[in-house]
Formats: sequence, structure tokens, C-alpha cells
Amino acid sequence: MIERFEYPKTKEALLSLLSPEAVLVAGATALYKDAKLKTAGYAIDITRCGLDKIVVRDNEIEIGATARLKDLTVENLGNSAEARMIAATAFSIASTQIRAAVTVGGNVVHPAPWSDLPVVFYALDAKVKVETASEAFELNFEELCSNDPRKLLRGGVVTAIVVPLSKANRKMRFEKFQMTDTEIALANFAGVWTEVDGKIVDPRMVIGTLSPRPCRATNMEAALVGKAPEVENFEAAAQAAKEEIKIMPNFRMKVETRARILGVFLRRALEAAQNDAPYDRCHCSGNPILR
Amino acid sequence: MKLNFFLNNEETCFEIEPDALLVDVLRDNGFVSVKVGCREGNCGCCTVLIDGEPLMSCITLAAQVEGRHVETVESLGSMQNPHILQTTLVDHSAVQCGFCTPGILLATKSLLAKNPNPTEAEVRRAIDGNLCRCTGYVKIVEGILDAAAKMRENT
Repeated sequence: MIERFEYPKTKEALLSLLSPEAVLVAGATALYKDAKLKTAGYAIDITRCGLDKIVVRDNEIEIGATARLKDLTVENLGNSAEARMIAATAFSIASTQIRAAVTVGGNVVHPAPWSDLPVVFYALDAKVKVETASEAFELNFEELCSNDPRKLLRGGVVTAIVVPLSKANRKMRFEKFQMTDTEIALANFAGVWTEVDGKIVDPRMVIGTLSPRPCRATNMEAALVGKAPEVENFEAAAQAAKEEIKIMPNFRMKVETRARILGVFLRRALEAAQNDAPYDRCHCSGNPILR
Repeated sequence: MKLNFFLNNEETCFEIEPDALLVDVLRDNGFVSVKVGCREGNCGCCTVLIDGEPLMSCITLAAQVEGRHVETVESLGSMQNPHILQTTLVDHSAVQCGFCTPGILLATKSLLAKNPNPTEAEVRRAIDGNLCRCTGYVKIVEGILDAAAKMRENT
């Protein structure tokens, strides 16, 4: 069981403390019931060494790993489409108290099937910066969503998530189906594409919650490539996703029900992306967050 | 281990186990206004302010508040000298069993410190992590809006 807490004030001090005996503490909203709390030798509070900065550059947004969900606002992220999508996603997560506690890095490294930010970061092709005492490297979300993220860290710590910003004519949207404003998702989705000469190119469609980890809906993407961004093509793409995704059981809603709503949910998301619809968190039971 | 922090603006030191939860440490040291409900971060009745932000103390390790400022509802007012937020909620019949009330008061305190003139939507968002099984929230929201108006008049 842990016998002491360390409170490093710099990243270098944090890296020097890393070891298999340590458990890292950031938001800790899942840690309190984690078995590692009982087996680790010591704990490291990683929230005091400056890893919470959000830096907006011309071509990217760098979000510090210990930035909280409450910090993901357009005031801090900028006014790009990517920033607005990330801010809307963060605002849709849980409650005021939880958003004040949960860190971006923790949400990525300790994902639940219904986690929202990994879906968005995957669609945006974000990278995760990791550092150990001896090396620094990056991970992408295809790797993170195919493996246990903690095993990929090589004993290191996530320092930032870097979201590329595109100057191209891109459409994007995050959508979430949840029964109330603070409940977890019953389905979530993030889609991004570029429009060239009136046709969709390079679509990235990520569906979460329905499978254990977020996954690229490759059949959906194939149904969109080279097509005009119009309703009938969105419907065909949503149908392709419905046939592609293997929905896992969930005690909150039957597989059959989620399968029935999936097509409509995805079509609405694609339409909202195409129309640059504004985000609105207020919604009533059963409706997605878009108004 | 010793936990050194500020509790309701007073320098405080508690002897704790490293894996102790903040809600238990506070209650074991007499601050029973911090309620235990779900122990899962869902109901909000354990809400405290940490550096001015509302957080669920049932899923916060006590050691995480080393050096930080923690506030319970005792920081707001007392039976002899209640805060205007407390009296206004009572006046609006926004308190029935009272179990959720400390958490709601602290969430509201945090809101009004940042936004003294909130809209109804902003009030509802600020207390979206505080469940109330008694009132249906209408009178709570009305009370908070009324208290905010009174506080603006007083400044």
C-alpha cells in the first residue's frame, strides 16, 4: 500500500520519480477504486509541475495532460473548428464537479468505452506526447485505441495531447446520445472530412461507446469518399456504419435499440457537420446535443 | 502521513492514511456537513470547494489537497450568522431534508464568485452535479437567482 505522496514541482522532478512502484495521481476520479492504489509503494501528484498549459499555435493546439475538462473552452483553445468541437465535447461530459477534476491525459490513458474525448482526438488525428526519464515519444490514437494505453507508455507519463489544425475546408462534428445532460454516452461519434471540388475527401469517422474502444468506421468512410456531402450519401454512409459496427451489450439500453437509433444518429451528425450547426448542450431525453 | 492544507481559511494539519478519501478525513475531523451519498462521484452531496472549484470529496484522495484551500459549508456562514445564500434558500422553501444542501451551497458559491449575475441556465449547469430527491430543483434555482440578486445589491 502507498506509504508516501510525492509532489514534484517540475516535469524533470516528476520524470526522476517514475518507477514501477509509483502510482500517478491527477484527477484520480477512477483511482480511488483502482487496485494499484493498494499495491503501489508511493503516489506521485502530477498536477503541480506545469503540465496543465494549453498552447494555441498556427498549426496545432497543445493541451497539457493535466489540464482539466473545465479548461477546454474556446477562450483557452481558440476559435478554430477543432477547438469548438473539443470544447463542446468536454462540456458534454458528466457534471461541473467531474469536469473540474478529470484531466485530459487521464481521460485518454484511463478510457472507459463511453469516453468522449478519445473519440474526438482520434477523429482529429491527434498525437499523445509521452516522456520517460530517458526518452520522449508520441503515440497516435489508432495505437491507443487498439491496445491498453497504459502498456504503451513504457513506464512514462503523458505530457500533452497535440491536435493538428487544418487550413483546408474541413467539416467536423462531435455528437453524443445520452439520456440526460450528465449521463454517460449511449453512443458517441466524431467525424471529420475535407471538401474538395464539392466532394468529400479524407473522411475520418470514429464511433465510440458501442464497442469496447473507439473505432474507425472504415465502411462508413468508404461510403463517403468522393461523394457529395448530401443527405442521401449521409444516409448510405450511416447504413454502412450500422452494418459494420458490432454493438456490445449495455445494461442501460438494449443492443437492438441502439442499433435502431444508430443510423439516424449518424446521419444527423453528418448533416450537422455539413451545416456547421452550432453546439448546444441543452437537450431533452433521447435527443442528441444538436438543436 | 501529515496533510497540511487550508481548511475554511485556517491552516490545518491532519494525520491521514495516504489512500484516505477526503470525505472521510473531513467527516472524521468533525466536518459532517460534508455528506456521504453514493461514494461514486454521482450525487454531489460530498461537494467541497478546492481552490475555489467544486469537486466531489468522495472520489478525491485527501493527499491531493496538500497545500490547497478546501472549503466546506462552514466557510459560508453559521447558525448564528448565516450567509445570504443560506437564508434565501430557506426563505424559498428550497430545503427539505437538507442532505443535498451543503453541496449545492458550495457549488453555488463557486458559481457566484466567477459569475455574480448568472442566468437560470447557468445556475442549472452549476448545480448539475448535485442531485436532490426532495425539491424538484425549481425552488433551489429560484432561491439561488434571488440570492445572487441580493448579493449584487449588497456590493
